Amino acid sequence: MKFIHTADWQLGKPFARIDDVQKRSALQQERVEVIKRMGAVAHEAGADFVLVAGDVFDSSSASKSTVAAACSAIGHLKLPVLVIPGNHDHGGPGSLWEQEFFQRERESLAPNLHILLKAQPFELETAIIFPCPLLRRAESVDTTSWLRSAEVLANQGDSKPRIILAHGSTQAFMSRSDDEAQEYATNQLDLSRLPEDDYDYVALGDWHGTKKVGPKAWFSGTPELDRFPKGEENDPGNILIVEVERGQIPQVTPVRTSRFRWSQLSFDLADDASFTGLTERLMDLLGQRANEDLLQLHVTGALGIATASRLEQLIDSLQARLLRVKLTNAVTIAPTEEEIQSLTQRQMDPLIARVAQQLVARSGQAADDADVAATALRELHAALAGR
Amino acid sequence: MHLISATIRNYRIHRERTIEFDRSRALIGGPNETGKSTLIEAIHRALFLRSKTGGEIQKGMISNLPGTTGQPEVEVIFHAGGGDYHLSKRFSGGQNGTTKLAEVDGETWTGEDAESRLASLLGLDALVGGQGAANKLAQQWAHLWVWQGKSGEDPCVHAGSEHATLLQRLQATGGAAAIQSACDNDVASHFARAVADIFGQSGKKPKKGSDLEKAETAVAAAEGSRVQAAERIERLRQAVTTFEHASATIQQTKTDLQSLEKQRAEVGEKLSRVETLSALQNTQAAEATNAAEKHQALKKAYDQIGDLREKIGASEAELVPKKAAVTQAEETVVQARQQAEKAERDYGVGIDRTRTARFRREWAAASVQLLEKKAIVEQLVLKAAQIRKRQEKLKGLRKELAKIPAIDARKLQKLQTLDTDVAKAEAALSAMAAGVEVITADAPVTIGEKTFAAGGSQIVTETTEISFGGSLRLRIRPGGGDSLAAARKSSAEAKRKLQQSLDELGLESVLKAGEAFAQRAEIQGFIDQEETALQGMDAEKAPGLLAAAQEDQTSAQAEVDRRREQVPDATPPADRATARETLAGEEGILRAAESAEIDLKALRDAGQKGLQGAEAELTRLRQSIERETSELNGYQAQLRLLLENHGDDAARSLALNHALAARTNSETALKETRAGLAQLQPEILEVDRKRFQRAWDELGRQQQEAQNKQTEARVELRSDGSADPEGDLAHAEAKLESARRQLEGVRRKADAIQMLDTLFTEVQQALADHFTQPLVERISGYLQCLFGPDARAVVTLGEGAFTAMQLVRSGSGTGAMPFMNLSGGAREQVAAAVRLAMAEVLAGDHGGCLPVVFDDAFAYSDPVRVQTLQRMLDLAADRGLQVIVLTCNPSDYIGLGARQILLTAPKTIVGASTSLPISAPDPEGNANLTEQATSSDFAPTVTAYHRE
Repeated sequence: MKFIHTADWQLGKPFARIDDVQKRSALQQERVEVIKRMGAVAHEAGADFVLVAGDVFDSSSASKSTVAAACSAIGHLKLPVLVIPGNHDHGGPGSLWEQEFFQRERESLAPNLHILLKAQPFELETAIIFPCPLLRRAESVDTTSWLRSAEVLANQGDSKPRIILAHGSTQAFMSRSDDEAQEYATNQLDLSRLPEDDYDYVALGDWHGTKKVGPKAWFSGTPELDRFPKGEENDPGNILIVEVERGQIPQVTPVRTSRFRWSQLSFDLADDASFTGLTERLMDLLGQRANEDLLQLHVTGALGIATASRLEQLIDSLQARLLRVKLTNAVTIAPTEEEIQSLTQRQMDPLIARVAQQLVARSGQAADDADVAATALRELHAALAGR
Repeated sequence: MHLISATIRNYRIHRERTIEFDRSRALIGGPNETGKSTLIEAIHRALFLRSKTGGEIQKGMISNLPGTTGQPEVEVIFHAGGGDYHLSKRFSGGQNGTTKLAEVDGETWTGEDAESRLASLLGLDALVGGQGAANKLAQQWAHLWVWQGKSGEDPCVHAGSEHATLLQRLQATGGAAAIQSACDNDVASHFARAVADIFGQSGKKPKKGSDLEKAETAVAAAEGSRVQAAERIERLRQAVTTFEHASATIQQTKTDLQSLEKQRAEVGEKLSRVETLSALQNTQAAEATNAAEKHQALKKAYDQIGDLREKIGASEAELVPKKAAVTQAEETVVQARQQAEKAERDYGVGIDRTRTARFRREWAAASVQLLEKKAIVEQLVLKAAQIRKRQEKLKGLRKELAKIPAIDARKLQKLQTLDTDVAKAEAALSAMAAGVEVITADAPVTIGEKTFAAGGSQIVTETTEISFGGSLRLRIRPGGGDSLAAARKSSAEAKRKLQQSLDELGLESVLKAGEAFAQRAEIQGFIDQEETALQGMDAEKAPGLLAAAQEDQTSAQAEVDRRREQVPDATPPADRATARETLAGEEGILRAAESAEIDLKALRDAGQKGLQGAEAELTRLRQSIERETSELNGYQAQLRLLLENHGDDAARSLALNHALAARTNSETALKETRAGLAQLQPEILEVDRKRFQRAWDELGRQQQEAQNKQTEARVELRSDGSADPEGDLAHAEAKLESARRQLEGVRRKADAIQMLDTLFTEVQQALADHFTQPLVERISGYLQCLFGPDARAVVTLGEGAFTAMQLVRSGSGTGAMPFMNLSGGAREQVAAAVRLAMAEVLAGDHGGCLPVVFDDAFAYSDPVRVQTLQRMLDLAADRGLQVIVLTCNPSDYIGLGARQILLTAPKTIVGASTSLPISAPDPEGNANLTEQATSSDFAPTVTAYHRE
């Protein structure tokens, strides 16, 4: 028996740091599009159903359009889709699951969608699901604790595979929760206390990378990247095809589903000459593409006034071309010897020359206004460039 | 350039005068009106004024010295442009003026060429002439030429025309690198404008509409939105917490209410048992009370019967002795009554005896009265006879008196006085009369109407004519004339009055009057004697007294007659003594009878009292018996009634025993019920019930409150999908971050532009300072000669001109003093320093030398300062300048070590003085260029002068 394990769709994620509305909307739209790609994978693999281990929505108060789009996309999967609330879309009071609008949309667009808000077995034709829904944003009680007694698992569904569906950090990840907003020491899952022989698979959500945390326990990760990855081990952008039978070790196959590229680049501009190196690296990374990439760029070093302006132009182009440039610009302006001379050695303009000399002196000091002095040099340079 | 010598001819007060100038220091001294200023003016005009100048200027130069007809001429020998030149100018008015310039041992120029060459040597474009020449002339080398009275003016102003030259010189002296280019200026103003665009006039707060202001506003707005979004999220989180707390509370209260309900039910059950027992207790208590009352009533009747029986027995026993006492009391009353009747009778006899004795005593008293009245009547009859006799005698005496004239002592006195008056008048009359006696006469002598012969005499008492023959007539006036007649009249009047008085009294003479008065006095003495006697006898009352006495006697007789009827057996007394003895005897009898009567009355009263006491005792005893008998009857009646009601003794005993048993039973039942109630502790139960009720209410309230909160929180949390607070917050935070980044960039750029502007301003200032440095140093050098080593000058170069000259004296405590704030003395000294410094700078264009003229330029300086400023002048000379000082006090400038030229007053002035219009103003009216002459200055022999 096969099914799709996925999680952390984070539909309706605002991507607020992207100023451009179209780009922002493209990123948001792609999170819905990936569900369609997921459907193709599921049908091709012959999956019986889809398990979503929490955080279908980015917020427990998702907007109507997000809800409508989600229901529509889920409806198109044409497979039972079983969902538990995660910490982002928890099932607490006032949550979207209670929303009348959501109920309506689910009925009309996604009758295949099942929201599992209670910790009680949910039996399907080919498997039995043990949901561990999060009913508040930060739950201090282990949501799997109801399964610790052997009878709960053992007395259900005889030969059908038993699948646990949960959202949170496992012990192995205790100190490195993948959720920025999550409070410490909440939403913890202790899988070691569950009777291992009595279940066949644990479908986990919350960690955005694909990660195996036990012989039968996996984090599927998010199907479409939603942020710049952290750390080497992280491998986001997949869904899992899980083949499972009662009493067997499950066979898990990750399938890549993510479309947008989230790249990271750190580059040190030691001098004006190194600027070419940066443009080459960027070309390697991004090619001629537009509106498909997101880049976290960290530049350091020092450039002459003219080259600093070229860097600015380059950044300008990147910002226009890419979906997002998350920039950390630590490059300082260090005028070149020629630039300094062109400003300070002006025999005919003693006033400008003296002002420039003072600015050069100030920008070279570790004083508070060194930055300002460097900028002033650039302004002066610009004022003269037009003459 | 420096002056070597000058000669002037026919120039105002100078006929001809030549002055040799020292190359470095020239001191031109001389009293007022010796033409010092005129001299220096002439040289100035020779150098700067076109010779063909006419009009007022030219006229002002013409000499008014007598016998002078020549035109004003000035010759100046000076060094300039590397050579010595001889300049000759004749100011002949208009086109007649001539100019000649000859280089010593060289070329000679005349006319326009000469003037053009001269201008070039002096560094001028052209000489002054034509329209407005006077004003232009005053500006020529005004910074070098200190005209009298102008020394305190700001030399920077005078340097106006020389600024360009001065700046060029300063540039040449080392400031060339400091001159900013057009590009400098453009870029500096570019940033000045940029700063103004960002910060406006204030220079601090961003200008409205500037990028910086927009960015700041955007950050503020983004912060506001973020706070709002965060608050919304916080509210939602709060609502979740509230909801969860409320749900927990509701759950807890449900459990608590269940447990409470159980406890409440137990208490309720116990309380209903208490209620039942309470009702039973009430019934039983009523029954017990009833039984006790019944038993009590029976017991009371039983006791009453016994009691009554005892009382009846006692009462009957008491009555027996009381009845015996009544019988005895009745006997005592009979005896007392007999005794009282006897005493009454005795008392009546006593009263009769006393009455008889009183009658007899009254009769005796009346008899005594009658006899006494009789004696009085007899006495009064006798006295009446005596009175009649005296009255007869008095009548006779009065008749006798009436016969004598009624003269009294006063009337007699008056008569005697009148008589004396007559005698006196007579005496006076006779004393006044003159006696005329005719001793010899050969003819009759007529005296008055009478005629006398010799020997005849006549008493003359009034004015009388005496005539003798026809030859002699005399008039005699005795007593002085008229008084004789008066005396005569007085005498006659006195006699008349006496006679009248005598006539009134009917008397003949005063003697008779005295006799009559004596007779009357004797008779009156007898009359008085009789009247006194009669008065002593009370003659007037005597008849009344007699009548009254007779009436009294009649009354007394009637009294005696009336009393006699009451004592028929009595014998009337013969006389008063007997009568008084009888009265005394009768009074003794009466007193004895009255005493006996009082004793008898006492006996009678005692008898009556004894009877009343016995009767009262009898009554008391009888009433006592009656009372007790009645009481006894009452007891007997009650006893009978009780026996009728309660039956006989046996029946009563039985009933009493039954009642007691019923009472005991009911009381036992009540006691048991009470014990049962106490066991249930009803007070505690009630408190418990209230406690549980309170707890129930409180829990209910908590539950309700929690439900309300839960509902409120649910409403707050209920999302309809139209808003996404989490998304909103994320957006707001992103916006804020972006706005902050934007602001950071804009601010850094603004700061950079501001830094640039500040730097440009500072460097511009530094350049200007650098530029003016040579001038400042030179001025400071001179100032230090005056004000010591700490003094220095500050000169600001702004807008292509020097401004804001200031004197700084560190340590003086005054700070930087603007030129115009200095005192008059300091101002002219500082101005001199500036002039010297400027001259020094400018001298570069003039072969390193320029003449600096001080015409009475230190008029406000004190003598000490005049001494120190010579150090400054000397320094200037040492530095190559030609210092020319004009003064009326040359001795003040001894210390300068200058070559001294002394001017004296032209002799011609003295000789021509009487013909001069001494008060006439300067014909040219050019007060700026000449010494002002005053009338006193024109005095013929001026030997004293004053400092101006």
